[in-house]
Amino acid sequence: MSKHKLITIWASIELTSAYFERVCLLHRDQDIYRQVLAELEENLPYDRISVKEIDRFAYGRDFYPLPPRSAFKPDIIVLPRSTEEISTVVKIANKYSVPIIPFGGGTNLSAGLWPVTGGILIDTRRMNNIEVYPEDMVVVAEGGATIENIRLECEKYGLLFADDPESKYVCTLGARISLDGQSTWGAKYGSPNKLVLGLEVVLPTGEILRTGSRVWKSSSGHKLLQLFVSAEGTLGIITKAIMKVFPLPKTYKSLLFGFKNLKVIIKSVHEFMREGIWPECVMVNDPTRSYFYSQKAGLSPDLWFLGIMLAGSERMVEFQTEILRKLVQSANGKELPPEISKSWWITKTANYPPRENPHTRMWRSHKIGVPDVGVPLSKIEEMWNRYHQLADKYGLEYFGLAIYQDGTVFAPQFSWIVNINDLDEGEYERWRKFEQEMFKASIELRGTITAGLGVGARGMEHFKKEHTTVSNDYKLMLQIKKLLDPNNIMQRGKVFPPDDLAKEVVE
Amino acid sequence: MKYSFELFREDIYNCARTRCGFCVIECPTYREYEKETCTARGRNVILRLLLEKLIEPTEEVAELFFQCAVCGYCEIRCAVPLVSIFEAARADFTRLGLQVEKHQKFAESIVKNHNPYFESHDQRSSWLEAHHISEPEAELGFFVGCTSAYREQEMAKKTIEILNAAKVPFTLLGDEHCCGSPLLRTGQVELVKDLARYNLQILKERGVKRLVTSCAGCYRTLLLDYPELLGKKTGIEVIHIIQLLNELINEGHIIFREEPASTTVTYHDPCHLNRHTNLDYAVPRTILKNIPGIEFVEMEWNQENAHCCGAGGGVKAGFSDLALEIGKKRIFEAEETGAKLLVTPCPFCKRNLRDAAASLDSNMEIVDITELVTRFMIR
Repeated sequence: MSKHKLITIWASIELTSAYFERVCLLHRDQDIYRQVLAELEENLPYDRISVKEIDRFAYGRDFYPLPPRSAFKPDIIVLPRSTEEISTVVKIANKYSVPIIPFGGGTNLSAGLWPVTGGILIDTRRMNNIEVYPEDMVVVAEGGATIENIRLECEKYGLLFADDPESKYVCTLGARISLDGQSTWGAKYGSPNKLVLGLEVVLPTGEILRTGSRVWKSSSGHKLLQLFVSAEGTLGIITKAIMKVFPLPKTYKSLLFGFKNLKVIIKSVHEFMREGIWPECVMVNDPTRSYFYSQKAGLSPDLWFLGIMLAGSERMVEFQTEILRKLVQSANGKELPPEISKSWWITKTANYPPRENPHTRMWRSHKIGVPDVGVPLSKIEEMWNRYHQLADKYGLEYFGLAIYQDGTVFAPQFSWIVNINDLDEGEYERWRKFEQEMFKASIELRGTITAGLGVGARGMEHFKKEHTTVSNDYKLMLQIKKLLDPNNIMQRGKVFPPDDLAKEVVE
Repeated sequence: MKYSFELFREDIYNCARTRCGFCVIECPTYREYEKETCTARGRNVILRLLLEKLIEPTEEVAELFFQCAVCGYCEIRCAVPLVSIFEAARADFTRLGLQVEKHQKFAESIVKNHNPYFESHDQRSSWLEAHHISEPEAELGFFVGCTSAYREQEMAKKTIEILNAAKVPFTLLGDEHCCGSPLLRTGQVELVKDLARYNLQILKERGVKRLVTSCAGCYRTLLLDYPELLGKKTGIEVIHIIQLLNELINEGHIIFREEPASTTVTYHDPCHLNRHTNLDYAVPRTILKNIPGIEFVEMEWNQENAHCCGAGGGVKAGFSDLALEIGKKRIFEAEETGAKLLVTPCPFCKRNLRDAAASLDSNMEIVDITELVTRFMIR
């Protein structure tokens, strides 16, 4: 039997190894886990706990590239059915200072689910109850409900659940709010932070916090619920959420245009708005990302794609389409043929069997790495150039840029993708360096290191840098984290550099 | 070449790379155990670890793969041939002696008795009645299958009644052996080649050009696995009874009583019949819509999205409790439609669903499509 190559893989990636080794050794003490397990078994029904080797391995990874021949495993898997059960687990973990990893759909792209310090992994998916309240225009769902199931449930009442990640078939609500990722319908409705009205959270001490209500607007007190949005589980586990829902539009129409460059696209989108067209969805692809389709349509390979989704009555949609087409024409844009447009839109909404899409197959032969750095509008082009320079520098094949909208004006969220051969250790290390340099570049351009996928275990150092240079809120974040989670059990080894949390006094 | 999951190395890596998880939610074993491990994605992670020798194949690992009902639901949204991978993995575990004891036992019975039910081969045609007419010279053969021959004999009888009533000449193979489906699905591939050769030989001897079967498992095996195993076309057109029924109804050879719809009926799509073979989902529905005496209602999860009954892939034999639990979920779905009758064209689905309904004290009556047709046809 060859040697296990488990958590030590970080040692080969200089960037963070020092942190992990210390923390790993500290808390992977077998005696502690024996005691923790005994207490869990005493307090939970038997089918809620697993320490089987294969279960631990199956939970030991997410969508983030993992080096060849490597695997993580959490120490204990817990599969709770209620908020109270989660609270019980968290209390025990807190008592023994054992790390907790909350688990949803398992498609995290920032190594946020890697059990880098071992610990208890809590799979929230057994908590998937969904209740729609059409009179209040809200849906109340448990943290483990999938976005697709919430959407389907709302549709039964003629309502639209406007959050729509590409991973919706598995992505869970709790995880979604915890990451605040990109949404297909983001242009009109925004990403989860704009949709959430109330939360139930199990705090790191095991207390159950309820914040917010079914009221759509409140000015009463701190917006505590926003503290847990994009917190990546560092401040607690979201077990229930009250979310806004909207009237379901009568019809949808998708359009796809090609433009010479991004500047024209941004200008055009602003022009659409001046005309009073507020699309459901605005999505931009750079020439590399749209190459497959421009080639299929026999168009120039350096076209930027702009996808627009309109919604409303047929008359309204046709009327808007007419205006859109005129505007696009005057900006020298081209409309793509319907079959190309359809096939492109299919990949964007993932509402289809991917096996029918050749583009998806291309992905599958490679692992994709997504540094989703965000930069101010004026810096996109510069970032785009740097992305290409960096990919070339590290010998990585770029897959292209996609820009999602968050809010009606051109408020971009980015996904800069490179293809990685994850069976090649050298290429894997080059990818890690590439990603770190992308983070660095985004900070230099006074942007953010992540526009939707989270910091996870991949970008802690640059997270700190961003929040001490672009802004100066790092210290306060650290204080809040230490206040809510004194033993640093939640998502230990992620988001915050563990060294900073280990210090007695926040500097 | 050895049939092994290692042949699918690239596919396993592609799954472990993508981890989209579209396979997770409706997987019958996931719905039962609600654990990441019991999903196609989780199983592929384990296979990747086995490929990289990070874990050892153990009974616990093998069990994970034998629990899969190979229903193929996961494949709807996947470019990776998941069912083939898991069946290949079973072959590996079988070679390592990690197979499920009950699977090993029925394999012994197939070798000895030519059926997996430990029944005597002499009794294979014991259900035949004097009024059943077959014509040895006919070009259409009827492959009865073990489950119909020994456990669900009503189905075999009804099939013949329909064929006789519609005056369709057919021949029985008399000495047919198990098609090999239970072996293929449980990783015991090596034994199947002989069965395939034998069955094809007697079909040839009888001059059968077209072969009809009323079992979804036999249908998949005869249609897809035989040519693949032997590396050549069989030269025989394999059809399922629903295809023949559809033809006979269209051509006016089967006529139903004109009467007001008195019974509400729902339909369960067997995984091996449609998802595995791409047979048109409209075929059985056309039959049902042609019967005036019934009102046909769909379950919420139907056609490509039909949930598994839980019996397939050796699960009923190896893990009967699991099969029953999965079956119960399907019965609940059928009950939600308000139907009194649950129709399915597969003896294996029928058995498991009936067991599930019985354990729930459900009033749902489970019938084969041939039984339903004979109830309502004039001739």
